[in-house]
Amino acid sequence: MELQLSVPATADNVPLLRHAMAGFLEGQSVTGETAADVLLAVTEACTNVVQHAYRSEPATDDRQIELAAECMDSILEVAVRDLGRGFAPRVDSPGLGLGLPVIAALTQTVEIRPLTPHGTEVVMTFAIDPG
Amino acid sequence: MQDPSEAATNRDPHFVRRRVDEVVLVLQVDGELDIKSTDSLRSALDAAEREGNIVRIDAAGVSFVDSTALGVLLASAQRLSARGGRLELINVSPPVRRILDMTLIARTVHVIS
Repeated sequence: MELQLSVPATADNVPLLRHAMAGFLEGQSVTGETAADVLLAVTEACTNVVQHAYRSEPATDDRQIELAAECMDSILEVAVRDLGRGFAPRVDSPGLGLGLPVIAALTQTVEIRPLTPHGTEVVMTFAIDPG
Repeated sequence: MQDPSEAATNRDPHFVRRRVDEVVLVLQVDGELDIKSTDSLRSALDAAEREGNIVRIDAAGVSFVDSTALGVLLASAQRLSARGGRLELINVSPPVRRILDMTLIARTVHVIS
């Protein structure tokens, strides 16, 4: 079973994606602390997109967050993608800069990959024990 | 089937202020605290800070907190500390406690078990 969603990269849509992820996890019988960790990591990754990915670009419908998730045996892989210009240091960052460290602490693995022609993909894996 | 956008709206936080005495103001918070609710959380804390030097957040109804919400809490805690007050968190659920511990925010915000 897979989850694939693409929504405009707005703050309002971050909880929307988290709730969609929660529904997906429920369908996979992933619950408790594991589910809480996944939902927090997904939220942090989506928030990074809203705060950073499209900061220097005009507001258009192309400013999307893509969320994809797939369960493979005892591994859940979740990807959060944007089509922006990538992460750049930001002196006026509205956050604490804790997003990526929190993601790293919650995941089994995390990779940040550039996309062609532009964009960034954060791929996170979690160990799961579906019921 | 519930509309996902409706589900999101239903979990938007709401805030109730209750004065305990001249110093302590309890802010009861229910819902989810993330980038969507940053402004409302900031406004609620601003109002609470005006009414009390010790702002005690009753987080029993808080089901989710992310790092953007922690940033708002931390800023409030620092403002209160600068004038001799403090920000307290009570009735914290295990998932919320987890991110507090992970980010060492409990060094600044007083988490009362």
